[in-house]
Amino acid sequence: MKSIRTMALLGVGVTALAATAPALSQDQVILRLLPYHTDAMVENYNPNNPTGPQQRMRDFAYEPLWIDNIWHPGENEEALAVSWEIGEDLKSITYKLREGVKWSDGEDFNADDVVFSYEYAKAHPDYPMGIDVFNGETGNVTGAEKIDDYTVRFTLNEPDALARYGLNGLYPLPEHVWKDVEDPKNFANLDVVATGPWTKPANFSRNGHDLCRNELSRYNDENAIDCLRFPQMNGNEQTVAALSAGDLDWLGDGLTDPDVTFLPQSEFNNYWLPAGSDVNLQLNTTRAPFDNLEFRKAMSVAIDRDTLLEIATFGLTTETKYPIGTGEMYNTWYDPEALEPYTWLMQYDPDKAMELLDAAGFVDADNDGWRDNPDGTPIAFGISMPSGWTDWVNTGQTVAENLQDIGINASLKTMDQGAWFDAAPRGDFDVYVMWTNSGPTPYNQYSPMFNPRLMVEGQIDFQAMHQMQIPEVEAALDVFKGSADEATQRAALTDIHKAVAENLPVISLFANPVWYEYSTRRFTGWVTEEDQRFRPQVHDGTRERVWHALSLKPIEGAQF
Amino acid sequence: MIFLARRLVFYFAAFFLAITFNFLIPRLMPGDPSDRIIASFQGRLNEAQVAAIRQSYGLDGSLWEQYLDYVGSVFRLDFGISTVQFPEPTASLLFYGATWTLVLVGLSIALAFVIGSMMGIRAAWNRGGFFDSFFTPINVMMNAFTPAIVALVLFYAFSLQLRWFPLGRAHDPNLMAGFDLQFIGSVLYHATLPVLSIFLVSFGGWHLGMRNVMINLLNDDFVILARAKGLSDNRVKYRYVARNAILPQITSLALSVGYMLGGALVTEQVFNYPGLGKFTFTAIQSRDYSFIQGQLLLLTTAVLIANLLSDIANVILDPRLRKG
Amino acid sequence: MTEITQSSRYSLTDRLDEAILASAAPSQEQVMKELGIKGRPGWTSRLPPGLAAFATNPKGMTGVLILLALILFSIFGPMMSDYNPNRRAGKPHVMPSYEHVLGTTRMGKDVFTQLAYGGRVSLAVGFGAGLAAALIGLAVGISAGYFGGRVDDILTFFVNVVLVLPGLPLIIVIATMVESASPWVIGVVLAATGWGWSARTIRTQTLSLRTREFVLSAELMGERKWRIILIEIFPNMLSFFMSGLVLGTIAAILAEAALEFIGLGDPNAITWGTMLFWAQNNLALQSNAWWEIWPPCIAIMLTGAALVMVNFSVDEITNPQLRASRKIGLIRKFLRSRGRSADVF
Repeated sequence: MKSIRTMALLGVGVTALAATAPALSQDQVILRLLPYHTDAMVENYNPNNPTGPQQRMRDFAYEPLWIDNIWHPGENEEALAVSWEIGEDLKSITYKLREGVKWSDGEDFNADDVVFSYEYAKAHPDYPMGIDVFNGETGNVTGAEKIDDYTVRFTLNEPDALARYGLNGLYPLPEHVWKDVEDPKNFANLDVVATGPWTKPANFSRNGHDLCRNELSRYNDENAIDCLRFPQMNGNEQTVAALSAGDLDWLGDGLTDPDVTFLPQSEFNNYWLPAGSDVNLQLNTTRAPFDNLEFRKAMSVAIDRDTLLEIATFGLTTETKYPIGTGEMYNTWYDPEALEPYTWLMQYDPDKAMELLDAAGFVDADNDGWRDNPDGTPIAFGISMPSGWTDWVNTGQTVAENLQDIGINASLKTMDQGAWFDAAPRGDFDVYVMWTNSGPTPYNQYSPMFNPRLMVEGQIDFQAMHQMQIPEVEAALDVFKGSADEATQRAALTDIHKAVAENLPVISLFANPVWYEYSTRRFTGWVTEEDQRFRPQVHDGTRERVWHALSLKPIEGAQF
Repeated sequence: MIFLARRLVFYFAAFFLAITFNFLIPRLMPGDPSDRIIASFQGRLNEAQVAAIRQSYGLDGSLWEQYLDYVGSVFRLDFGISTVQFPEPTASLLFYGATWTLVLVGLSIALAFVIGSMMGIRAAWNRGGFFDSFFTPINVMMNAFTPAIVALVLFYAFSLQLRWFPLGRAHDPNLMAGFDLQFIGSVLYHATLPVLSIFLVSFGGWHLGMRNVMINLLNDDFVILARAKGLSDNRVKYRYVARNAILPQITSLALSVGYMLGGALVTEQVFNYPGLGKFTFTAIQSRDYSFIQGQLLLLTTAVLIANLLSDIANVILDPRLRKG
Repeated sequence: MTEITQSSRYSLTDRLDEAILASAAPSQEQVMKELGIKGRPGWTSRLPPGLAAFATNPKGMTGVLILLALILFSIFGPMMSDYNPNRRAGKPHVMPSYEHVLGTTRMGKDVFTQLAYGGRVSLAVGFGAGLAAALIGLAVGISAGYFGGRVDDILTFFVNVVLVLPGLPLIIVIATMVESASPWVIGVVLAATGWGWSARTIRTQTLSLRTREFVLSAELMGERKWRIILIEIFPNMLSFFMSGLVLGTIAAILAEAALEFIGLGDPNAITWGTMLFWAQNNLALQSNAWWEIWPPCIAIMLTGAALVMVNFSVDEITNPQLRASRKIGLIRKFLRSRGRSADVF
């Protein structure tokens, strides 16, 4: 027993020592943010490595050509390019680049870097730089031409009015560094050379690293933050607890019951969830009974979306008005008059559903209590779901219950996340709950949804899981792409909306929230519901996040 | 010595069995790592590029060729590249996680073994007394607690509510790794709750084991002789009885290492402790095959080594085994 | 002094002890009263001795009673409740009240109903896996111990391999190979990986029994091998088998709960483990909805505790020296107070 006592005393003493351990020097202003979860930080600063480094390096260190302000298009959008011009025939785009920008090692930024980036992407097709290079079968960009030191023209294979959206997101690489890099996929890029406000990595450990100020950046004077700190964290409970404790300032994780579990944890905790992209049921229309339009209509009417909103997703989602596969995010593109006749498909009416099914021949032929196909074969299917995603599992269960109430033998089919990701491209499913893409225009949602190339078994895209090819939609998409005139684009989009509502390849459920949490402990200047300057997310894909970071100012007297 | 030699042969055979099993597992799992990568390009690849990607994952060639490749790479300690943390080599992540799991599990086992055995010795010596009839049942029942709930409750009570202990991690992220007192102190401070949660559900087993073995020994003649000769209680207790009782306990210790390494998984999840279990869980969900394989192999090897060490310890401590 | 057993070694010191005791002996009634021993044999004397020993063991009986209560709850509980455990029964996170004895979950499902239905699956799978593992261990252990030689070597190799493979990670990997691991699949996997320990102990015990006279004489008489195993060896193995069964069941129940808790089970299924999974995912603790998380937790712990007590009593019966009962303590105190050595106990 004596040895136990000694051990205990030793433990207490050591703990006391640990509690007084000084931290690293803290006279700098540090913003702590978590764009993604990971189990261990890796020392890799490659801006095109999608497993993690991209989330840290893009926008903050490497700048794109253009930052599209999705919520207020046209306001303050220049980045490394100051203007763009689409050619008359829609087969070229010319960018005028910003003059006087220096890379963080002192070299000048000019058109050579942009042209080099294009050639580099072409030479390394397995290195995902985000340029839609034409490789003989897919892609559209055929060349990049230097007009003068600060002008670049990209040429396209086919006319495309929307190509600029893709090219806007090109993050030019410094030619003088990357021309010697032979294997970009495996390159760790430890000496970061970029133009953004923070380019110096520091204090790397498995627990996270810092990205510190770039003195040569044009943002340097207005930049109030000395370093960005990217901690290593995994697990929503941990991240939310970290925000409450002051270990994080900016976060983008899913919340459960935030008014009960999040806000009370700290007076500085805040969240705001603007409406994001739609969540749909993707039906495998190559299988019965989903190949029957009346069945699909009945399914849509049988779903109690109010319950989904309030209970299944804890009141954090918003409703979608029209059965068009996209949600509130693009409500400025809707034509409400044209879509009015289809709103009944989104109203909960189980009786109507049963009517539709009876009329179409889906009755209980073998008296087992469940409806069967018109040809007599039984109907039984599963709604596939990854087992960890609580709100979606709740959604799936509610939908299954709704369907059971009208006599359809539907159930929830949960599986391990890996298996769920893998089953989709193989076409090995009946019904999936699936998100939709976000992007600058609705084109980004509908294009993958109806692209026949993406319906090939083995490579089925998550958006195209329904595998229904609608020629009118494909034609309308081409019109949309091929015209720079907004009125034409709107008309084409309305055609698409009507075609989707008519055919119901997917069933719209609700609009996902955009996850955004922040702490007012150390910084002010956050985007809020009252001040909706631009999209507030911390994740990669939201190029506006660099503006968000730059607009934060430290509070007097805050401890860093 | 023959005893040791036989055990070594067994361990080699078991190791090869583990390698083979390891090789087969990811190929039996539904899905394929290259599918995931190909899907991420969203249809922008042409035929040649798809084929190139499949080839880079070693999924071409006959099963036998792949197997030989794999065995070779194991002996070269080349565990491949992680797909989740591309292009970080799996080996570096594995050893990082393994270090922390060793710290966690090592501390827990040491504490549980020592404290449990001490309590067991005391219970056996005064069996039927208050200590024995109260603590023995309680300790053993604690073994039946779900480690997940124990971890959760401790986290919720002491980390979230009372804020006496940190939320997770292995050490204060501001400290750099080193063998100085500060760092070690921080490690111990962060390890307190996780170690406690594993300790609480395991020390009862040691208590019971030690107690039962000792009670059987206490009736032997040598004990009576020792006491008749006037040796002090403590001397008899520790130098004579406990020393003999330790032998079977050491074998149990080795076997429990394997169980512990796996069982720490839930605790690591709850406390965000960067151990092997936590990494493994993520790897399984993201189908990071090289990591899954590397981790299984590492665990099996660790258990085999632990068993080998316990065999050696048995040979050293038990003269009867030296004759063979 | 009918209830006090004496040490089997009748040495000089014992004879001296007895003589002194006899000279200073109080009457039998006085001793019995001092030790709190009842005089009359009860109903248990009519049972076979093994069962009688078990029935009079307070720990064992408590354990069995608790288990019985849980089993009855699982069988009859569902009938006591009108709700469907799978469907919404009320508003979310309702506190325990008259309509919902244990409240509702975050999704509005009745906790009491889920506990009752869940108990069926959890207990069935737990006991099933434990029994299967114990049976496999028994078969392997007896065969290895009895037949010896080649058979022993091969079987021991497999036993060692199973013992050495790290359990939980292996189970996790296997559980992800099947698309969605229903509780039954988990049970099968647990049985297949959990038989090592009991196989080892039974083999050791068989080895020691094999050389005993009654086995040798049966062999000499020409008894067939399987009869010898079944009739001579197996009954002596019973306590080890029981012990293995109980421990295996505990391990199976805990492992199943752990697997489902981290999300590898089938969230559609209703078991105590999946109840914990949902409670954790819906942040029950943080929302102060203690009724969602504590009932399944306590149910699992009670089952484990009851099984542990049963295991204890089995240990004690087979090896009376292990008794941690107060009675033995009193006896030792009594002996010490009379100045005698207490070490005979």
